Formats: sequence, C-alpha cells, structure tokens
Amino acid sequence: MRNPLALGVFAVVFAGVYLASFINGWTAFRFYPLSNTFTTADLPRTAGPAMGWYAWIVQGFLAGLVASILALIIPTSWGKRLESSWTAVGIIAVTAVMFYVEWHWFAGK
Amino acid sequence: MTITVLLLIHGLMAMLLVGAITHQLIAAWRGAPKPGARFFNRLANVSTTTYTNAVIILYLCVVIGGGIIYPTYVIDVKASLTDAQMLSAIGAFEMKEHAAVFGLALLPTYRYFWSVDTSPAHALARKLNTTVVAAVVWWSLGVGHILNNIKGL
Repeated sequence: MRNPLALGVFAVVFAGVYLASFINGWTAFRFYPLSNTFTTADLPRTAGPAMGWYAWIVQGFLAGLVASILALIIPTSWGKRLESSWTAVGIIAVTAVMFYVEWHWFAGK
Repeated sequence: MTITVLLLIHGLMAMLLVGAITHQLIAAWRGAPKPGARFFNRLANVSTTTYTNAVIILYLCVVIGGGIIYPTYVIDVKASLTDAQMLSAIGAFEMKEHAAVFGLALLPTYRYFWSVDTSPAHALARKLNTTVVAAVVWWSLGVGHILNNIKGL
C-alpha cells in the first residue's frame, strides 16, 4: 500500500480499537494458558487466568484494516492537506490515554 | 527449558532491535552526516534507510516471540508478582504489552516514510515515527529486563 493516509488511518484505528477493547472488556475470544485453550466462552475461575491480549490485537488489526480500506476512497489531495506526522501524534495520544488508564498500578489503588 | 531458550532469543533479538532503532533515531534527529572520529559522530553516521527493514523484521520477531512466551509469564511470573503485591511491576508490564501493539500498528507508516516517500517534506514524520518506535522498544526492553531480574521464567 502506498497511500500514507490509509496507512495512518490503519495505525491510529488499530491502536484506538485495541485500547478501547481493553478498557471496555470487548473480548471476542480468550486464551486460557493453564489448559492451552482458545475459546469464545467465559470459563469459570477454576480454568485459571484468561488472556484477552490476542483478541484485542486481532480486533484492532481488523478494525484498522477496514478503516484503511475505507480511507482509500478519500481523494489523495485531502490526505496531502494533513501534516504527515499526524499518525505519530495520534499514536502518542493513544499511548497517553493508555498510561492514564494503567496508572492505578502505580497509585496503589 | 524451551521457554528459557525462547526468552533468551527474545531478549537477544530485542537487544539487536534496540541497537538498530537507536542508530536510526540518532541519525534521523542529527541530520546530515558529520565527519569526525568522535564516538557520537560515528554513532550517528549511518545510512538510516538501510536500518528500516531490519527494524521491522526484528520488531515482528520480538513481538511474535513475546506472544509465544506471554502465557508462561501470566502463569509463572504475574501470579508471583501478584502474591508479592508488586503492583508497579505488573503495571509496567501491562504498559509494555499495550505499547508493543501501538508500535506494531505504526510500522507500516514508519516504513512508508523511510522506504517509499523519503522526501524532506516528511522529515518530521520520519523523526516522530522513529522516536515513537524507539521509545516503545526501549521501554519494552527495560521492563522486560527488570521483570526478568525480579522473577525470570
């Protein structure tokens, strides 16, 4: 892909949907490392810890992919009006939100 | 045993990645190569574009390797950290896992501005993308190293 706007949209939507999935608990499937099982079911506590990380990555990636395909429709002249560093700024913004959400680990709450 | 070998490979690749992205980061912000025998000049006098594919391949390998050993961390290390009430260590790792994904999402744009459109108009984008990827890599290596010191696999 050689469209910087679509690549930028992919990055920001991927990261944004990943973070939104984490914050809101949108987890299409979970991995249970004790039993080495991927499942869409919410297993009981006896199944051990559940991991949503893989699902959030897949969800973010798919959302980013769809958004970037849609961004290809946008005329390239529109994209050229944007400062090309906006993607990095977007990722920094998502990271700042992530730090804010995760800060409770350090605040002793 | 397998996990120990995987963790070792994961760590070694992360070290290579830190080296590559740091060279590129310094060179990107430093601008045109400056002759000189001083250490910092030599550090910055690299062909920045040649590092791009190496950074991407190493980044992908490190993330995939991390994804493979992550379940063992959850069972063995995170449980121990929780028992020991080392919440800041758990939080630092959580931030690392999220940041690694954000860096992953940025890789296509990072590649575009280093390999496809290298015009001076995108110099700031190149610098910022590289800085973000470098920050993620440094944070991840630091946290991974500290956690391995606290309780290795």
